[in-house]
Amino acid sequence: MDFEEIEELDGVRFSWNVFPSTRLEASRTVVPIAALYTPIKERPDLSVLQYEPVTCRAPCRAVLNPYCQLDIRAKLWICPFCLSRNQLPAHYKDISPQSLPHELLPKSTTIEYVLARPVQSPPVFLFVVDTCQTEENLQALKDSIIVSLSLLPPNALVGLITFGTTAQVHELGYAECAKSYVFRGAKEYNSKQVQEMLGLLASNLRPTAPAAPGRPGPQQFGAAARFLLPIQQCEFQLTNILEQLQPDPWPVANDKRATRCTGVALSVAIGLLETSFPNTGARVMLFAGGPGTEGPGMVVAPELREAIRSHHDIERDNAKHYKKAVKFYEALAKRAAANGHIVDIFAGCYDQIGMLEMKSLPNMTGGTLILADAFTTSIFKQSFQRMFNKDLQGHLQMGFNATLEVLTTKELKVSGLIGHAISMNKKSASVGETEIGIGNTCAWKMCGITPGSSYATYFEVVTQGTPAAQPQSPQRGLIQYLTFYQHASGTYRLRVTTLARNLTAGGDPAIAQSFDQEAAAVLMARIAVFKAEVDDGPDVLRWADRMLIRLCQKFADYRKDDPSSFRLSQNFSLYPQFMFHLRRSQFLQVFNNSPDETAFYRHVLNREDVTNSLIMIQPTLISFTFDQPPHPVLLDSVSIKPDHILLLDTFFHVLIFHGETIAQWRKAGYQDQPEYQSFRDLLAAPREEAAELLVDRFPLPRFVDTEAGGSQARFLLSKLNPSTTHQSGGAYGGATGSAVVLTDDVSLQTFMGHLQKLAVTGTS
Amino acid sequence: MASGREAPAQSQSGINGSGRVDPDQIPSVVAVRESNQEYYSSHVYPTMEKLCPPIAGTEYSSVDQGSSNPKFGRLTLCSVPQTADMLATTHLPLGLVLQPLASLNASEAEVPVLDFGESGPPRCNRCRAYINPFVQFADGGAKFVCNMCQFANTVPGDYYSPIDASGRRIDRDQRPELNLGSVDFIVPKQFSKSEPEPMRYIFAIDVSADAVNRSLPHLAAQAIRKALYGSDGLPQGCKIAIMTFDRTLHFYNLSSNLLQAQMMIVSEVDDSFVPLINGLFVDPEESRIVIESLLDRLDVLFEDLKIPEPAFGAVLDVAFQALEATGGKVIATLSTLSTWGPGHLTFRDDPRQYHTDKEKVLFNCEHVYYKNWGQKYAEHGIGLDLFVLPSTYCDLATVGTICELSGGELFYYPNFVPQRDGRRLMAEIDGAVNRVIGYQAQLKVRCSNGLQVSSYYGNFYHSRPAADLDFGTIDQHKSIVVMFKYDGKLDPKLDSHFQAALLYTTKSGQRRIRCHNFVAGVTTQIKEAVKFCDEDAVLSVIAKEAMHHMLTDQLKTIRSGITDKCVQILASYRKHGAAMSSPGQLILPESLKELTVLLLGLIKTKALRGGNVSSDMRVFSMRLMKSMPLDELALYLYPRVFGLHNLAPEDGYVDPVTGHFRMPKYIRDSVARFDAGGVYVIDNGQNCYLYINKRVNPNLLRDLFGPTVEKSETLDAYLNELPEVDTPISIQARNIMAYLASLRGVKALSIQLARQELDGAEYEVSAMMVEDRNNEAMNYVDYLCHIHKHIQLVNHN
Repeated sequence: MDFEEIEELDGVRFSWNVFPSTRLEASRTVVPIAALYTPIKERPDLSVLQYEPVTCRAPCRAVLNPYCQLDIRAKLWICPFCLSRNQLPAHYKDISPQSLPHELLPKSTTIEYVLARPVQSPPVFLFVVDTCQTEENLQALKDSIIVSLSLLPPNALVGLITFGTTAQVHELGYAECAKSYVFRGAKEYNSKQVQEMLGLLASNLRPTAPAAPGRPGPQQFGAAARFLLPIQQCEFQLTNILEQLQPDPWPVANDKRATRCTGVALSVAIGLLETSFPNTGARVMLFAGGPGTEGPGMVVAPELREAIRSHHDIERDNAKHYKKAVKFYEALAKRAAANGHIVDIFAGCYDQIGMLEMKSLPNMTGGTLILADAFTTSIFKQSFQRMFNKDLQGHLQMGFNATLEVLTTKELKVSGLIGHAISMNKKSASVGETEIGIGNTCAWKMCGITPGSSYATYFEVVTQGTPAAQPQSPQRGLIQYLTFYQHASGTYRLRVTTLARNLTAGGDPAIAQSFDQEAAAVLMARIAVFKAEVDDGPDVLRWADRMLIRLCQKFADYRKDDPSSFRLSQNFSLYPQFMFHLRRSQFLQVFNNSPDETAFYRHVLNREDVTNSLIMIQPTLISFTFDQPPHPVLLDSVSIKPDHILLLDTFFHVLIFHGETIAQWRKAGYQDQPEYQSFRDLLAAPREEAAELLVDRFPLPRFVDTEAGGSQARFLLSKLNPSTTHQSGGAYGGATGSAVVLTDDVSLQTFMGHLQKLAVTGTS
Repeated sequence: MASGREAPAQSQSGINGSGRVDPDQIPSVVAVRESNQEYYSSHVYPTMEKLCPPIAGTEYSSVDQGSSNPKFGRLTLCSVPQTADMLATTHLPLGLVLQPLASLNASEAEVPVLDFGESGPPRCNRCRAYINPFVQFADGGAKFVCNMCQFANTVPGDYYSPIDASGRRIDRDQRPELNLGSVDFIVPKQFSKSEPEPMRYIFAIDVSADAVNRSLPHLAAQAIRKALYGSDGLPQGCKIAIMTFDRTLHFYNLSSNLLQAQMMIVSEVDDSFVPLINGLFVDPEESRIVIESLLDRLDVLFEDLKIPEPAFGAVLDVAFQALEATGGKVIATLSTLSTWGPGHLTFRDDPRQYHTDKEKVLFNCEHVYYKNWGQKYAEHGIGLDLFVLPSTYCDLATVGTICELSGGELFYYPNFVPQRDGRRLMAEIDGAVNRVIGYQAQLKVRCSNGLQVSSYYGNFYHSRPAADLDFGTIDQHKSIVVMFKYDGKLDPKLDSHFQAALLYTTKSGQRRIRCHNFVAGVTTQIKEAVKFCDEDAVLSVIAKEAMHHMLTDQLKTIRSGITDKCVQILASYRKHGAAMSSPGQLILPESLKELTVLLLGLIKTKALRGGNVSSDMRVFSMRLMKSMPLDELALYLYPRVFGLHNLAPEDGYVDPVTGHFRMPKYIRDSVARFDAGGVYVIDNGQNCYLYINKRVNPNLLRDLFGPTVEKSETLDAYLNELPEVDTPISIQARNIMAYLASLRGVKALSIQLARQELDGAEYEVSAMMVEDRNNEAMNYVDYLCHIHKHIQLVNHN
């Protein structure tokens, strides 16, 4: 079974592709039945149907699919999920096994409908710009935003909020001069207050006074139109305002940080959108040049003597603003998500900006997080631009206001979802008791969705009883994903993916053979990260170890108590290694990362598909040397050789490492001499390869060019399996010429040794 | 003496026992003004010769001989009675009418500015009086004896100078502070709360629906432009901010690196704040392009919005926040009752309360919000000049409180017609900005042993009885009355001394003390005291006292109180000063001859008169008089009236002999004295009316208003200045108007037509005729008889 082929077709990778048929058996397989699903994965050959889907009656609402039983004569179809019989609609009367409608063809397991219901308003883009920045940084940001205006569809509505000591909503519909409404930075505004202040209330009369009869107030939409206008109408004005934008006009004392009311700016932005454009596609794009230092959601006090919180502070409960800020932003995130609005955060600051506190905003609304050192960096500029990539038809590759619903046949129940979404609290027959991730619901709201957004969904088998009691006839469990979203072209769409997997008795070797170790690693990584958000680090690591050991106990070949007999079959063989690297990764180890970085890395892991996630968990390493084609090498310190160039891709970093000799040659300038053409080619090869990696990576990775002994080489060394450390080898270091990694971490070899020992003893 | 003030000491009043009164014989303000002006057109007034100063309104030059120029301050009594009892017998007040920053005319020497460095000017160690021409040096110059408290102080080392045989310091001639009554001391740091800096202005313009409908923002913008770029502009370093308001507050970033102003709106009026700091206050020259382009479009900005109800209370709040640290001036316009936001007001004017015991409630500030701000403004050196242009009741009693407490000024334009009054508004805003202003000011008045300050009247904040007066700002047109009482007996061998020290920051940011010194003799004779009393100062004190009583007493009580006061003063003089004359005759002291008619004028002011006057108008008139300098007050109480139809050929030109401008003959304030067919100008210093008789000669109209005007009906009802017509009479008339305009304080001269049987202003004109029977009060002759009768009654008993 080729997992990648299935992924190509349906955008889904299951941990197990054949399910145990009973609850008990399923629990013994350790890794839960789960799927990483990429709902609106781009597929050039995808059938996009221009008609309404045929659905089962409420409350099931399953969509007609190739797995439905059809009674052509009676013009009936049987819903496989609820087993009701449904009449086919009248215009299906002419179907026959030879001429089936598109959605019933066997290859139409994934299909997209363009719904007739029109989208009421074009997408809204509300820029929230921090003005507490240096001129240079602000200028770069202004330029980027102005460029982005040309990338938006001309009918898209845009708005601008700037903030610093105060938050200002700019009235773009006012041609006479630059005009903005100012909100106090230190105050919390609810959405009604925002409306009042902006004059959005239908009748702008005194709240206590009854509205004057016969004098209709302005239309709500009309009022908001002062702030959010189609780009074609206000581009000139908006560009003007942006160009005239000055750094925050309040002085900053030497011992203070700039006063920055990020929380108020966001709450005003969300308040403005939720009153004017509820349940329409909208993005709030926050560009932060530093941490919020005032008002609700402040991350750190303005005084510089108060350091911004570290992981350590948070762990010790020493971060005095942390909990309050988290609570504030979570409440905001929920409000935004409830209205289908997306919040993106772009940080352009060496320091932390409070991403950890604010992470719920993008995480719950399907927004984007970009962490850059400054807005002048290409990491920001290009990543930001890539957000506006277009598909072949010229539409933005972003879906708005998306929801995902999962239907299962009665054998299966859905336990939860891990990804950038929020529960819609929809109860159905498909909702299981076990909870993994965001559970207790069969539907989630994602708000923002991109072709790359992937969601981990977890299932449980609920059929009770012993395997023997099961009928021998092959059984199938069905899962239907219904993804409803607002396409950038201005239509609502429904993507339907219906999947069928065999259920079989627990002992069936087919189960083991159907194990997709890559998908499983990613799915387990998401659970681990989800746990890490709430549990202590060591607990999560212990949990990961335990799961690994139990999986090995179940599926490895070994003789009891004989570690040397331990063998894993091929489709399990890499799994322990993935887990080894996951344990050491920045996703579970916070050491050396700021809380903001941790939030950022975890955010990205929760979005990407299997391939990208695996790169994050276990980076790829390619070696370049003379007389050999570039080849992947072990992510191990032994791979470092003086005459090799290594290309490391950790997803977040792309690093070229020149071995000692190569570095010396390069320094000597051999590549510039005509007789050393081959050396020049060798130096160029990894760069070309790296450039290829950078092409469509989002966010743009940090590119590092370093050499043996270079300070930046730490990025490589920290990722390598420390098979050669200062403790291994003789008193004078290893003699192999490979690098020495200074760490106390165990190497993969030691890890495997322990794993084998523990697995075969059978006492866990 | 030609001045006619000192002798004869008493005059026949034209009233005798027979009861028949010739109106031409009774004392005439017009006549005394004329003779006084004539005298001072060719004489200077030397300050140390114990003469009563020129009467109010006279154009004169004075020489400071050690006692200050009377323009800065005048004592009610130039010869102070020795004891409290004696003063009580005269029924005259003992007070000082101060106008510390008054402007001087071109021929008078400017007040010198002296810098004593870090130590500051020498002061008396006991009473803290500043060094002045009246201190006596002793011990060969090592000591100086304070003229206030007689304490012998050691002269500071760096100020020492030997004295000559007559006790004069030998460097006296080089020391302005020892020669001049008025000097400015630059003071060291300890006199300022913060580093003084050039003054900051905030212009706050009402752009609510009412204002926009009457194009007030446009006028205000024009006015600001004129104030900033019209003539000299503000002193170097002054900064301005512009804000507008309706239900929300609008601030403007005027930073010079912008292409155009950025408007920032604060909707949160209940918890308002200033949304920017850099770019709020800007140098008007540096940001000229940005400011001018904003002013150009100010009316367009709000044309389509028209939001009712200005949140004026919030403006007070944010203006305070913006100026709290530095102090400064707020210039605001207001078009209607402020009914929105903090301190919002209600329409509490109720004509049913007029003339009842409850009427005074309408004159009082009923809202603690405004009192608090007034106090805070004063304490932080912020002054508010408020231009109120309402179409209806505006509760001036309340909103004007801040002007009063902060030392600002209230400008009130009832029935504002933009075409007619726009020019005036612009000129007055310009005047308010560009006059001499001191801010963060405090006033301390010290006086000789035996006397002490008892009370003050004027526009300021007085936190507790013993404290100094706080002024947010004080300008050249503000006057303060300081009243004294006895705490002992004065020494007739010594003079009595008064020193007023005003600590202030100039517009250009220099912290100074302006010190004025006044000296008066001490007398044991009642007659002497009355003889050297200053009628205008006395009038000022009585008027200000009366205004003060408006907050607590009924108007009719105040009116009869004024008459009683008049009777008491005159009866006392009759008894103690002129007991010899025939009992049936009304004898008036020469120095107080016109007091009766001026007090009649006071009774007939809008503040006090009977009849129907809106409470806003009364409050405005009241506040006006509270801070009015005495020459403006005299004119306000007794307007000048002259005809344009009977000008002499030399009227309206500078007299080549004296170099003084020649005005036409004034006539007495009585309609009876108007010629049929005449054209009259009636000017009380605040408003100027052009009265045109219905039988006016068409030729005169043509000459004055141009060839197309044959009948007064064809005149533009909103005419506000005389058109340029090339006829001798027009040139004369325009010269006269220009001259009158130059005499004014901050109030601009703008003509209002009062055509007989055509304009409502005709009623105003007749109400201004003090000598006529009007405003529910007697005519002059009857009033004089009434007073006379009561004097007889008092002295009989």
